[in-house]
Amino acid sequence: MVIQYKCPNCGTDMAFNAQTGMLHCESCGLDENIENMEQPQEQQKSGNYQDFISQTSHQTYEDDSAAQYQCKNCGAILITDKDTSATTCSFCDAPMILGDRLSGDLRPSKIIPFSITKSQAEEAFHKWRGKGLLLPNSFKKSNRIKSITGMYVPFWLYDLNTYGKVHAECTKIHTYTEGDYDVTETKYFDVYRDVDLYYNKIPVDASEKMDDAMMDKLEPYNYGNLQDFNTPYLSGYLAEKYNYTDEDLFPRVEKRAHQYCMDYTRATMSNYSSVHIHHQNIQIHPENAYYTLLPVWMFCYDYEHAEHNFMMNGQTGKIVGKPPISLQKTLGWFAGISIITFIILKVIMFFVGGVWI
Amino acid sequence: MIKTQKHNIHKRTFPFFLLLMILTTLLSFSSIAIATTNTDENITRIYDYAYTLSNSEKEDLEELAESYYQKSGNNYLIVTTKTRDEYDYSHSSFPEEDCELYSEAFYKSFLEMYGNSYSNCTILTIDLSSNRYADISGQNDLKTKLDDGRRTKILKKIKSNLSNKDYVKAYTKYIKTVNRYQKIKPGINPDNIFLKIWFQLLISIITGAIIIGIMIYQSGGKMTANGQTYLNRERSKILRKDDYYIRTHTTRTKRETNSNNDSSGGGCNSGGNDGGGNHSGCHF
Repeated sequence: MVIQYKCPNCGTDMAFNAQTGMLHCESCGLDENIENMEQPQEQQKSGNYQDFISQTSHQTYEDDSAAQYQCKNCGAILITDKDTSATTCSFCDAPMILGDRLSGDLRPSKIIPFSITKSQAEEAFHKWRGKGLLLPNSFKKSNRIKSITGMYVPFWLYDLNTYGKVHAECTKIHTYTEGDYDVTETKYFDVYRDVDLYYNKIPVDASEKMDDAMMDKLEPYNYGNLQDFNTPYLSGYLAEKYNYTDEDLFPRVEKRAHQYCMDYTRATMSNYSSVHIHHQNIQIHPENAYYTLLPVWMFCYDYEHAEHNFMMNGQTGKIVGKPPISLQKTLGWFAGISIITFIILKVIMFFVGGVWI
Repeated sequence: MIKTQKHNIHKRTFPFFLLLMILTTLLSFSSIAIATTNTDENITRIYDYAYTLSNSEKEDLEELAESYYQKSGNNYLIVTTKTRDEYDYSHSSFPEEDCELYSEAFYKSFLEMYGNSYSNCTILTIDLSSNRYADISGQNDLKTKLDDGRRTKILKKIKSNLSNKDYVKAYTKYIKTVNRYQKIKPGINPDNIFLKIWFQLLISIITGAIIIGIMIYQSGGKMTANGQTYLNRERSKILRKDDYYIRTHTTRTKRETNSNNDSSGGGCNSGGNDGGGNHSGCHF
């Protein structure tokens, strides 16, 4: 099932506008509130796959790796990746939403719509490149963006309850002088902490194509703009369906929650000089998992015959990636910092010792 | 294009060179300030009555002492004796004290010979009688510059050379070390590791490497979300927070009374003041 939003005025395909948060018609300039849009997938929420086909099916072929859809706009046949749930027609550029991949179990529950437009993303990326102290000048100056793609990446947002019992031996060290002696007084304490912590919406990306470390670095998202999922948000962007269920990814979030719980407990012992954990028992119970689409701008950058990929949080503008590092600049900075440190040390030692040594 | 790049490199490296130039200028000023004393007069600074040196060795040491005099305006003197009777002084009942008195008498004679403008002296007195005693004293300005701790340090450094009859090495070490120590403000441990150039370089290189490491690590963005980002503060609570005091363990260590004044070790003693300079001595 392909969903395409047509302008009620002129019939042109409409796409989601990150600036206004509405569907926008490029042709006549009409902005349509998303709440007013017909939501075809709602009706089929309880229906089965066959219903989609009988109603609006333009899907003509599917195997494990690809599926074929027909654009309702120009009639072109489009072969998509098996995970794609929204894309644009490669012939007429009309936004296409593949409704059958957004329904039933695959229907996202929440979405954070794009707040940054393509041109804003491009501008921010250029600014970010300019600021990199270790990036080669040629990388900073040339503009070799091969592609900028706005994509809704599937995430699971977990609500968790973390119950932790920690037993530690802590010390407080007090030093003072007594006559000719330095006295070190170490007080030992037996410390018990039981904590009952609740974490809301810890995100874990559910797409196998995305680099986990990079996705983690894109956080945090501002959940103030977390909306109930609505198909028109996808119009004009790429979107993927999840590859892993919330159950599959639970170990990943469990590891994070475990660390968070330990960090929290350790923070309650910050008044001690040393902390030695004797025993810890941390139990993590999932309360809820929301299938959520989060906005990511992907930049493919061509530099010295190699492709460098960068990601931008489509809501906050935070950029991550592995930029090329200039050896010359690295050495320059290293030498500069070392020389300055050396000079500072010399000056300090001049004031202490009274001589340039 | 290449020209512009080159120009940029020059622009970037310019501040570093500027700082280097300032440092070099300051350094040269300090050495110019010190090297103001100059004389044509031929001064003998090595008085080897015990014949511990050959003529050429003596000449070399005289040259060394002279060169340091040119730089610092201080006279680093050496006097060796087998009999302690080259100079007049009223003898005491202790050979060590006699050695100090002998050294003072020698200093008096040195001043009589060359005048008070040569009064900034250190004297290494080597007593090769059965006593086998080395005494170092600082005179005039060098009384404070060469305090108890520093004198003892020098004695410790040369003690083994003296025991092994390696006099040239001991005397050279004495002259060089005294010269190094007198430059450093009194009260500061002259052997402090922070005053060593290799340590300063090492610290600088390590600092540079750490900062560059962090810059490279963070060049691709860093993780900014943590537990606090997702914590539901309203629902979360600490159920138990018990801290039980168990015991206190106390350790006492004798304070090193300023490593500058470590006069206790090595069988050396210090703090004598016989008529003028401050003395420290050591059997070898």
